[in-house]
Amino acid sequence: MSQPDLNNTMATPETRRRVSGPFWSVLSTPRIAPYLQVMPITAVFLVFFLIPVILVVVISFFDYQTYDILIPDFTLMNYQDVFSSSVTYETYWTTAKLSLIVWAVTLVLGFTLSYFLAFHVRSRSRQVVLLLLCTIPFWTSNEIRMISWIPLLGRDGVVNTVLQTMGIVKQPLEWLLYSKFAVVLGYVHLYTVFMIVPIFNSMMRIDKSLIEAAVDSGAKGWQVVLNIILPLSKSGLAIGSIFVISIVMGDFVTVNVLGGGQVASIGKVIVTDLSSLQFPPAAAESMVLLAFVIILIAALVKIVDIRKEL
Amino acid sequence: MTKEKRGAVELIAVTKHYGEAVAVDGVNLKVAAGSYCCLLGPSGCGKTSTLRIIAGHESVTEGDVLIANKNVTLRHPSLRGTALMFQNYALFPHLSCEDNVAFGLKMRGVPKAERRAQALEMLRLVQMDAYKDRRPDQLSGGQQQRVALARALITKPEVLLLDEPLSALDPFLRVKMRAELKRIHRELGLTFIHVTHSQEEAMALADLVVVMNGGRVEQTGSPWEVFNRPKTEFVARFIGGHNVMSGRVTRVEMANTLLTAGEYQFIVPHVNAPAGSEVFFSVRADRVSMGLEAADPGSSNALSATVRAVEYQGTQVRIGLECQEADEFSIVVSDREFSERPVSIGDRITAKWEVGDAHCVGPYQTQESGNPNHTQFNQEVLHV
Repeated sequence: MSQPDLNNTMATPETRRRVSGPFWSVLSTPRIAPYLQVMPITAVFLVFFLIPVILVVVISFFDYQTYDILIPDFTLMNYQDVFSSSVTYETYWTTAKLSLIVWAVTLVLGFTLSYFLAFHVRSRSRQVVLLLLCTIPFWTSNEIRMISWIPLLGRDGVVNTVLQTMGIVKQPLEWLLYSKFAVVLGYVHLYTVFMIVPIFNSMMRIDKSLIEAAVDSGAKGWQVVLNIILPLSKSGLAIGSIFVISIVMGDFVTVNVLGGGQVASIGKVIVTDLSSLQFPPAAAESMVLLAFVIILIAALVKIVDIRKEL
Repeated sequence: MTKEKRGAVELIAVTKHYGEAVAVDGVNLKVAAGSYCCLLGPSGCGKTSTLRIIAGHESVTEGDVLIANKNVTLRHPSLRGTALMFQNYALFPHLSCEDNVAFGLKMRGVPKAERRAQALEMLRLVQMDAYKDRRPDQLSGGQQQRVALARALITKPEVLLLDEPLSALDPFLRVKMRAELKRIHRELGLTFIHVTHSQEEAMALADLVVVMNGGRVEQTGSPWEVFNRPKTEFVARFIGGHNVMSGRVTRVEMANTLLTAGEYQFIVPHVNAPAGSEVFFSVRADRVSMGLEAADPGSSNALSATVRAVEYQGTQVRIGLECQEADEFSIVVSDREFSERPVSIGDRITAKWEVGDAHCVGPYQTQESGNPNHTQFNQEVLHV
């Protein structure tokens, strides 16, 4: 009597097959089941990622003319154009510089804000409320958020008016709007939260007794941060960095609205190509950008083992 | 040992409130330098809070903490001469064993080569030098604990505080590490304060056992005193191996006091309690003998009971009884005794004990001088 009972509770593959009907027994055959389980995500990945990317790759080798936007071909012309143009290198340099500045600023902000949230806010509910506050920039659409900076930073905007009234500046500051400053400000405003969330997440996983242990061993406040908290939130820092860098590298909206045509970016180059219906060069530009971002992220991943965090 | 003993710890009326809740309630405690003190009690009795107050990781609401005769109540944890070993060991997961141990020295600005050398020496003390390059997650629980011990000791504390250090280990390893702790205590000559909920652990290790309950100290004494002369009903029950009963005083004589409880009559050693007052007393389970014949009517210190459980424990057998006068009553007999006179569940038996084996607890306590040959039990081992 006890023998079959034991087998049932242990649910070995043999008993499972014996218990279920013929149809399900095929599905639950050890060889097929795992593939079925990964089917949905594979389908989504295929339709929304792999096929579009393959299309872009294919088109980047196409030819084009003014009245014939896609001519199936295999030409390296589009890539030659990309790499032979000095504009490409300048734009990459500007975009990389922008990303680097935004990355540094959001990293410092993200780390300090997360540190405050994780270690100085004691109650869990208050942490949640404050974290939600950080997401306020996302409560409205991207364009509106961008545009609302204009009355603030413009020539006769709030900031300039205040500064002039207080007598701090005589002439309105020109670099506030339609400048690199404005673009960086816009990015930081939007994307700091992408730093905060992963860093906060990894900080929350740090056992509080580790900090006490460090204090007990004689570590001062900044020594605890440097020796314990920073290394233990490295994976959060890496994930946040990937978010921010890949978003900023590909962005064109912020550059358009707040850069006011004064700031170049790779995203804008691609959009310009697209708007003049030059799809193959746009595709080639996209592929180069993709490769560039992948290299950047690969370098980051090399520094930190992200899998540990996931 | 010739090493000088360091780090006397004294708590004076220490109280700790968490909002409304009182975690530690007016604790007074004196731990002599170089002794091994165990704070013993059930969970939530305030023993861990007390330890954390000594360590400086918890502030006091009232009272003072003295270490080596200096008031350290407001001092930073690292400036008290204490080191805390955490319950979950709290090893830094991103550092190797060696760097974990060297951490305290690094924070003090000791050069790399020197702190490495010292860390290795400390790892050798806990027999973990072979694992110096491993990360904590590559170690077993017992190994992690040794590293945690080395890390706590590297800053040369006067007082080592251990928060339930053995509770995460399996029973076999626990006994082994117990001996290890004892050895290190003996070699280093510092004060150890060890929090535990296991009376067995406290008995095995401590020179001084502090039994706590509800934020208060119930009894402070040597393991022998705590076991043989429990001061309160709580201690008698918590320490285990005791049967606690009560009765009302009917007559006080020179040597004995007579109690009655229902139809039973108990004779206990003299306590000065007014007639009619309730007196609690305890009798060690191994001092109770078992009679198979029914008790004589009118005889004292004998209970009629039914066997409810028989538990074989290897060297001894514990017999659980059901009777009116004590909600939990057990007898411990040696296995030889049991095989000579076996009983089984449902048998009616009589439990009997000598007057001298009864010990009154609570407000009316038996006044006895402690047994001088036994009070220094663990100390003796210490001086071997």
